[in-house]
Amino acid sequence: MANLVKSKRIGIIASISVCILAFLAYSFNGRNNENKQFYYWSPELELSKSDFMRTEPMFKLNSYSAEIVMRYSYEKDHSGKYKVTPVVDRYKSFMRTGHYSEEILSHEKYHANICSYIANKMNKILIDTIFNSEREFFNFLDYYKVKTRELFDKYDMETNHGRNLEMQKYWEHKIDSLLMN
Amino acid sequence: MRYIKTFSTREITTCLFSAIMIMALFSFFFTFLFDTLSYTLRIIYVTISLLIPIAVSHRLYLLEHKRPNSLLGRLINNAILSFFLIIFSIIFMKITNSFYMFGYYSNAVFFVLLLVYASEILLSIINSLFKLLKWRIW
Repeated sequence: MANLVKSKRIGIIASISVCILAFLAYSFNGRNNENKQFYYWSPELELSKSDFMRTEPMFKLNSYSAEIVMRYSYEKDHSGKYKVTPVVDRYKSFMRTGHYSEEILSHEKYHANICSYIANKMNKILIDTIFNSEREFFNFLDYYKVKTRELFDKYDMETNHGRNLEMQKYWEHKIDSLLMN
Repeated sequence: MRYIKTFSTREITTCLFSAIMIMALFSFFFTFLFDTLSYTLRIIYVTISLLIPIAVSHRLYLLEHKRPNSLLGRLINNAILSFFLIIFSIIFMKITNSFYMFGYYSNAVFFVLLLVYASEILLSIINSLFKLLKWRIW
């Protein structure tokens, strides 16, 4: 009997605790929306320190000073045509404390601009394309995500993550020219 | 060794409720108090909300076993508490889409272990002060 009372008591305490936690989590979620996770990127915009909201990794000592995470957002209009826009994921982007510099910010900005270039390229194809299924569109998107990754890797390798200033300038010029076309 | 010999589900449930208590106090802090409190008050609140549940768990051990917990027992107790706390905090952060505050799982593990064991050291100091006054609270 004593055990039954004890387990009932534990059950009641656990239920109340879970309810309180759920309520607080709900309230916290609402408050958290003030800091938006995503925003649409365009080459005219500038990145700032506040775009790197993620806490830096403490145990990856040899990783980079900063990392910007980009995604592709898409929408479908009434005629069944898709449009892709690059977005900055602020919650997944980090910058190491004390590593802030204009050069790093510029390097990361051109990562975002590469996404703009790929998105423009995709949109040019998407204007004349109607997909039979959503799956077909996702395959198309996946293909360009791989292309973006490859371009990111090439950009990082050639500029040595922005440390090689000459190559950085060359890439900036190259990406700007690609965006103009 | 006596801790291991007498180890039962009671120890686990005590750690579980201490972890829930810490989570409740922390989530209350981040939801309602973070913007209103000054920096000093935030540190005081965080310290107290860590110290009280851990002290309560030690106090419950004393009441249940009629003897205070040993050093090894407290270390294991805190490891179990940290385990629950890591899981709860990660779930809470994931649900509320605020995991960017931890950034990485390794950061979460490190932060929680650091906070729990630092609180334990602080509690030991407080306990030795109580011992001077011949008080045995936990």
